[in-house]
Amino acid sequence: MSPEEFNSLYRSYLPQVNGYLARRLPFDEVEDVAGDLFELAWSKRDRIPEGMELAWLYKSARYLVANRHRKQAGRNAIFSMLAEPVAAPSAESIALADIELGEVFAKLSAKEREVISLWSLDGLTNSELANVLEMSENAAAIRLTRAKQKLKLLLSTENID
Amino acid sequence: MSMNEHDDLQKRLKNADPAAGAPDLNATVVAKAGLRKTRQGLGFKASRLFAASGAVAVSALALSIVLPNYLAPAPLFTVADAGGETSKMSADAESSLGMVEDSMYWPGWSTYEYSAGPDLGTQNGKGNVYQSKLVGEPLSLLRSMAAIFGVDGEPVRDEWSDEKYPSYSITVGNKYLSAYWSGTGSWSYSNWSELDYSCEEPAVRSDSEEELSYCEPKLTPELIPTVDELKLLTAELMLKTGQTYNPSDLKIYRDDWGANVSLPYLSNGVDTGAWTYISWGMNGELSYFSSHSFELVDRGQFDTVSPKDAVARISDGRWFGSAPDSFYQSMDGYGEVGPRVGSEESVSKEASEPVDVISEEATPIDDQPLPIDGGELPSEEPELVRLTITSSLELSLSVWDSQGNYWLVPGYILYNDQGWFDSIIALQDGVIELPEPFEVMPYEGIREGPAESELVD
Repeated sequence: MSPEEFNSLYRSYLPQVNGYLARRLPFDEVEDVAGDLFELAWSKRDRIPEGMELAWLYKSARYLVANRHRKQAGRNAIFSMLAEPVAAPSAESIALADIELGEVFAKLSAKEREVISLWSLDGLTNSELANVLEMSENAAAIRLTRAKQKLKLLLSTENID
Repeated sequence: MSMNEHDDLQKRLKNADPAAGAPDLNATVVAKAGLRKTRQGLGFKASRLFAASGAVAVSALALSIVLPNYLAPAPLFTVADAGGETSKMSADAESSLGMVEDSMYWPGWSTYEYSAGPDLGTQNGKGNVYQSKLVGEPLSLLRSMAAIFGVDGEPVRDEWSDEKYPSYSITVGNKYLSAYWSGTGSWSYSNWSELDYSCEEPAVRSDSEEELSYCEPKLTPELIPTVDELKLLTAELMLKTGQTYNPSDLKIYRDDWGANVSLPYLSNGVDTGAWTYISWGMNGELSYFSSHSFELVDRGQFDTVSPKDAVARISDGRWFGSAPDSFYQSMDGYGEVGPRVGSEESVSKEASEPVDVISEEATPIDDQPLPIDGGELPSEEPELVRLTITSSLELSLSVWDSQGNYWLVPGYILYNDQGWFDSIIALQDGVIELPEPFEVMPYEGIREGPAESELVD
């Protein structure tokens, strides 16, 4: 794949990548990580299956975001290095637009926040979720259903309170 | 959850999308990725300040940023990603994982946290970088060595040879000559005839259950060259093979089973970090000779980070270089391998200045048996080991680049408070290009019951 072909193909995914990263990182870090992501894609361009480019970008972006969070967590959080990569928007960022939703979002686990946001904000289907989260489609669907049920429950409880 | 509830939830979440109002991404993040491999330790924004203005690509992709070439210092080389233990693990991971995971490693059951002690230096410095350059040509080298070692045959290209790592060899009977024409141009001679030894009598031993027939090699220490003879033979061989050396650098080991001499491989008098090894078998014949065919080219002086700043590079896993053997040999306890029974002509008696002879009287470093099976299972969480770097030593370290070339770069030996050390490259960021960072494999711990995916698959 020539640089021109790469540019033509991957440029079309910029809005999705921008959205994904902007939901999970400060805006001023998005360009940095996007640069890393597309460099990675370029270096692995021959191994990315045709038609799976966006899925690959999401999956790789998830690792880059998770790694960035780990680095920022500092050396004291060494055990966080061993956790499964999770790249979810922060509850604070949600709360900027919806305080109540943000408070409830904070009560979800990182994995739940991630799957919810991939579904609702990034618009991924179950099969795409499965690819990004590296699990079977059924498992992804179950994780999403449970997360949605919990979020709904928390929201209703919040309303009662 | 009903469809309405489902839609309402999604709508509400979308309305709270943190990405709303995010500025558009600059399209050059894609275009630049395809231009060249950029950045080392710098973020994208920083790296693009050093972007080259490649005319073709710029015109084709209509880049918005065009900078002059003088802002684009190319790295000297890209460090190979299979040089150390960490990268070995990465290579192992590559075979079982795909795509992104190929740069990951399993962290193991101990994880290390490094910090700089108060006495560690904070001054930046400078150091020279040397690049290896192969000397000669492999086929003529092999023919020359065949004449020296008495191997009557023609070199052939090895089956496993390829364009990047070409190799050639001559095999005649027990004798084997080979040359690997990359990196340091290493070549070697082997003579397996030393294995044709006589057996002690009686060759049959009675056991309680059965009689065992075996061959106990008959030792012939009188055939093995003495230390003085080893020095003379070494001088002769070095002269024949066209190499220079410093007699005071010789390391000699001799016992009833054979003798070994090792010495640094020099390039214009400079210690290259590579070594020449010579062995004599139990029959006293030359059994092995390995050396190199390269010279060092000075690529100039470069800025280095301070020892204190180098500490942060240990955990990164990509800054390791190899200390020369001379460094290890200068350490206390070097050569303290299991004792062997020596002949009456003890090397320690024969050794005299300036030859450094490794004593046979040393005791094993650790004679405790290693745990194998049946021990306790590792705990779920790895042990965190905190290490303080207490002192440092400036030293040239050898590094292999991604093209198989050998380099010497300034580095530090960083000693920690638990009695060991790491050898870390001291060059400032950007002078050399590192491989892609290693990432820790996802870890989910040891769980009770089936994993989530197992429940539904």
